[in-house]
Amino acid sequence: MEDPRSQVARLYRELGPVVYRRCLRLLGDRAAAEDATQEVFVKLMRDMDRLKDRETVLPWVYRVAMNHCLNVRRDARRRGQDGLAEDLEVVPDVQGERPDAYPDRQLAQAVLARFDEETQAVAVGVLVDGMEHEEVAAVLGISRRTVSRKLSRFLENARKFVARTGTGEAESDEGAVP
Amino acid sequence: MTRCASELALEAYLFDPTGSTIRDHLEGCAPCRVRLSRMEREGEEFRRFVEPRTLERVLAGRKPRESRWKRLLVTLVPAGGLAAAAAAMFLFSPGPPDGYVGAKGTPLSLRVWAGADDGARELADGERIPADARLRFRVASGQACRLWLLSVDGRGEVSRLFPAAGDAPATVTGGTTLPGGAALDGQPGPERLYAICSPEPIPFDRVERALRSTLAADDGALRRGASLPGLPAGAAQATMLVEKVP
Repeated sequence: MEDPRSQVARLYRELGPVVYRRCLRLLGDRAAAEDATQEVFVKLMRDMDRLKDRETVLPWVYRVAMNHCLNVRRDARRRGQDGLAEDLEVVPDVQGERPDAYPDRQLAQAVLARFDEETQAVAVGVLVDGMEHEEVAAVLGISRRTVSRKLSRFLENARKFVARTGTGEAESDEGAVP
Repeated sequence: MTRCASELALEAYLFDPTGSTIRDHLEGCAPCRVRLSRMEREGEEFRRFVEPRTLERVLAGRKPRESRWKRLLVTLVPAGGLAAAAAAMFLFSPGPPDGYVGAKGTPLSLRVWAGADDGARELADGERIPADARLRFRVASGQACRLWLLSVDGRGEVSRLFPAAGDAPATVTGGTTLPGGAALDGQPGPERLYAICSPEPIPFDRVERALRSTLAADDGALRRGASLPGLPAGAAQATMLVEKVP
């Protein structure tokens, strides 16, 4: 029988790359991604049964890593730290098309940090990672309808914010944070 | 119009290619194949560099050090100036030939070079070098053996340098310049390097335990370079100290 230490080492070797890639994509900095990977995995280890379940582990790991790294981005921004990538690299929507052809995605990057964790995860999932609403819903454990609603409000609020860039804050709305 | 696969879908493919639903899409989608290729490279980067540096802390359930004072970045290819200097040095220096076995009676030797953009030079034991110096390594053994190269600093932090990933030590024969190198962490203090080479592979855990027990038992062991106990018969050791200065 595999001892606990070997088991964790094996799971880290297998799932660590998933966490590292997610953090690298969201933080854009290798040292920050390395630190975040450790922190995420320590969190994941608190539920070893779930970590060992190959059928369900991937979306869970993905979500925990995404939430953690979005918080790291937000905290860094609040502290005025430099070093983390401002822009998120977005998935092309259609073969061969340039990602920057999508104004909504650029909008998402500009205002992402102003929203709560779940709304950020929805926006990143759909607008940055190119996930279907159903996929985001499954990863976050919320309904597809909630995904659509949060995304709509995110975009609506983000547009208002961008329209007022330099003059004030985003209007108070569900999901927006001061 | 075919929508590109999401990051999660690509992760699922890497996790379990046979159960993935995007195999057909990947065949016809060049952008997705490019993304997948990059993800594979990043996974390799994790296995080669991140995992060896972080596994112990993860196993202990600890967070990263706040200051990140220990960050030995093992690099596949050193930056231009150092690479060129090191290559020239290995090709043209009048040093010992391949197969050199170090001092008499020593079956393993370790040579270390520190480099910068203006050149690389071989270090003497105990030499003071910039705390963020880049290092290159060369080992020589009289016979084929399985090599681990690791380091420990004044705080007892052990870093695995070569091979950076995998469960097994690398096989070396004669004189071997190790691929890549290491960039020191920028923190002043002693850093002792150990090369351990044995006829049969030794698990890294065992080497690391031997190193930690030596340091725990003797405060002066780091600077004095005590040999590591408890290794299998036939295991050869070579060690070298560098003093990192601001």
